[in-house]
Amino acid sequence: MSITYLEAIREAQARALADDPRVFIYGQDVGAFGGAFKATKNLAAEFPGRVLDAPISEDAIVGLGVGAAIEGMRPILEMQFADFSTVGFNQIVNQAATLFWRTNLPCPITIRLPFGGTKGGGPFHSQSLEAIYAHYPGLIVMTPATVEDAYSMLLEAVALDDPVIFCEHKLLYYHLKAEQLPTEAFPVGKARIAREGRDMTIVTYSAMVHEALEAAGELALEGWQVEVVDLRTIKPLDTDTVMASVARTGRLLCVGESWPWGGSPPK
Amino acid sequence: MRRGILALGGVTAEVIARVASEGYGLLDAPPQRLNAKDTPIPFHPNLWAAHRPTARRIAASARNLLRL
Repeated sequence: MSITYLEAIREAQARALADDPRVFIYGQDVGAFGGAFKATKNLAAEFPGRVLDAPISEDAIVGLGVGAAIEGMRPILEMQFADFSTVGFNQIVNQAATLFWRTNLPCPITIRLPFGGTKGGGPFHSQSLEAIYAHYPGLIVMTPATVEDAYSMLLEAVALDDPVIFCEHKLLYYHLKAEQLPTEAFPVGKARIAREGRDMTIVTYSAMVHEALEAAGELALEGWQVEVVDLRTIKPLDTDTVMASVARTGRLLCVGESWPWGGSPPK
Repeated sequence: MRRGILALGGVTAEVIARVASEGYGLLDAPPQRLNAKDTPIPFHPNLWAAHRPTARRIAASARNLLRL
């Protein structure tokens, strides 16, 4: 048996719904249709009344989620594409992110963002928006690179009392496979050494982990040992693992699929 | 507060800022970063392939860094 990254996301949601009656899923066409990418396939039938179709308004989807969280629920909100989460930006960054700091009430919502480029995706269905959400205090931003992380981190996202931006890469949905679902996981905010090496460090996350591993394999043929660090969560950022790797190698290359502008002081 | 910390936006910039400010002595070469191009994401598959970082571009950046 093998399971894809997309199936792992579906299975994590099924388990979250089964384990906790406070969990429900809300998003465009997530019900009978099963979601734009079928990440909620059959869940509406398995969990009647808990997988709900939303109007085409990301603003309303996140707003309802925040309200439900205030009332003690733990909603999973699906955006059809990360690109359209900007339509609900106010609810995410002004309401969800600040709720606890304003009211002392937790805001346990998980917002799933299918993100990243695919062939022919174009300007409105390809964006990588993890950096803009990581900019806002109060949000946790997850970027799983493996099937195992997609499953375990989504379950962690639902269990956390903070609002989580769960960035799932569309390029990994179908081709990335694992033999089975994981039974244990790294804690939130801990990076992973995806490949060990002593000559330089590549720090990256999500789909770029696989590009970096391929590059490291190519460089190994030329005699270079490249270490690859998979950040797993962008926020919190595991500076300790990065720093320890750089201490071993002395050389750092950071790779991200998002746009480059970041006001980097070292430049 | 230091200006750079407040002004940050990108993940790669954030990682480099932290390593440069807290671990400068660990570095044997200037830290590098590789991102997508600073334009809207192109529709055409060939242009898209040139827009995003790929294994080939990462390997090229890595070779440059290893020579520094």
